[in-house]
Amino acid sequence: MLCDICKKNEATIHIQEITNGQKKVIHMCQECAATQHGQGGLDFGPFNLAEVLYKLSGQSGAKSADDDSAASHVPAKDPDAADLVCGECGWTEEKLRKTGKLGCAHCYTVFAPLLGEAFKNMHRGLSHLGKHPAGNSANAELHICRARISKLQKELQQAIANEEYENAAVLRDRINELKQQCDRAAGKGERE
Amino acid sequence: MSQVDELLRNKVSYLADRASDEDIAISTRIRLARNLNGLPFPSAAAPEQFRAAAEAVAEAVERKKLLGGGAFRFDLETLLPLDAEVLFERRLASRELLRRETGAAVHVSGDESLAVMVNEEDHLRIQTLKPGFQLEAAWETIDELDNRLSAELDFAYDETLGYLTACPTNVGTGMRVSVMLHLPGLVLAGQLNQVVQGIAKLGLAVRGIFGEGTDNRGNLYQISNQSTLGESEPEIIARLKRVIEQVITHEKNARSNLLEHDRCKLLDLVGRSYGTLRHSYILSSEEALKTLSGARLGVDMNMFSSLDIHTVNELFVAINPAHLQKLAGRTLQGAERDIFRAQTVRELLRRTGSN
Repeated sequence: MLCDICKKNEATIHIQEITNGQKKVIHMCQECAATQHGQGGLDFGPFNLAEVLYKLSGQSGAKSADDDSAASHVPAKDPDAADLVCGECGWTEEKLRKTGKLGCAHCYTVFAPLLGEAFKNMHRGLSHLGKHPAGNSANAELHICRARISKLQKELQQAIANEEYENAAVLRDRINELKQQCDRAAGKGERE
Repeated sequence: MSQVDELLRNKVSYLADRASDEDIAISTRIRLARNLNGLPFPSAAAPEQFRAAAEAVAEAVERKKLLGGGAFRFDLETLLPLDAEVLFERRLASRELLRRETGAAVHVSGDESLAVMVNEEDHLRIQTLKPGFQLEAAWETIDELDNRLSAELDFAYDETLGYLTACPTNVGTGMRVSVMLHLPGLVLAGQLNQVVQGIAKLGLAVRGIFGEGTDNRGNLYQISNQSTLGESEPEIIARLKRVIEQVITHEKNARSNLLEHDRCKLLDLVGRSYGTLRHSYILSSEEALKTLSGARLGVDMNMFSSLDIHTVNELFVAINPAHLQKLAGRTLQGAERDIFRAQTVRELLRRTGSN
């Protein structure tokens, strides 16, 4: 995707805001984001884009070698909403915005509304399809099950695209079957 | 003798030998981020919680000898700053780990191919470093270590999101795979930017290894995955592998093109690089990297009878500031260091019988 501003470089920064149910998205390259900040921000509604950009331009020189900060992917704050705080570790929404990090495992639940959109920009999917910790057999079953579903769903889409409806029906039934199996495994695998 | 001095007798694992005849991919690294259930991530942890995490990991690693018999444990709090820098230069510890004031540690296998950083951005950063282009082998190694660790430690894991990490950019597999590539041919041919743009479009990251900004003097680039959620580990690895194979092909083409159409430019670069390394008396870190890159290109293209890849690899590590100071046995300031660097390089090249 090209930068909305210079239309030359690859856009690496995606800013999204929802105001009164209207979604606005802007895609920028690092350079343009820094320039826009220098010029006092973009004409992009009343929300605090400057703050977002400030963090972006500030971090561009100092980011760690291995990780892109998540801060740039977190959607901008709705001014009317109350700040989210994690009851387990005390991590705040402000800290998430500033550092792009979370404070503990429970934060993933607390800040889920902010993270959902961010995940779409950062990752290739919304659920984990990789390995799981050793020594948890019920989870293993669930996992394999989910991976199969995901694979079949891709095949299903392909089949529909190719107008192979008979094949699609078979795949759909198989997916439903697996989903039930998955639910049973999840019931067994629930922790504590 | 300190433990770090013992490390210095090792050949650096990721450069120690050539795994195959692949000379463009220098090393392969896979790193997994893991956190312990029941403790806040390092981002929100109090000092006693850092210590609790460090103790839990040390207990698991040491009691079960997960890193083998001759493993090392470095507690950053008690380590001399110069020794900590050595760990960084050997790619066993990150800058972020070195900055942590409490409870930071790194466990290293005797041959340095495995390391577990504790209390970096996440409680554990498990890594394997292998020479050359060995993605599958690296995955097998790290997968096994991770399994053995997870039998001892309770990792934060969610059925939907996978491994939970301090930074949501790592959630899911928690896996960052990176391959270091030496791309002097593409740089000389002026095609590097095109390749970098292409890779970025595929959702992979490219970074210069040494130095800041775009001026990469060692012609070393690291390609790694960005996305960690929504694909399995083997899928991520396969995707990265396909892209890197293409980059290697481009680099090979660029090199043979240079040899065919711009022979003098190539010979001049290699010759000047070697001349500088062999005969200079003041050698900055930038110049050393640039000329070592040239020398490595010459070795790759069989232009030397007397200079071998082992020597070049050894020098890539030896020219780093902390390694030089360990060799000198004392602190060296900037100008003094450049003189000592030149001396070290000259002597090493002389010793290996080249002239």
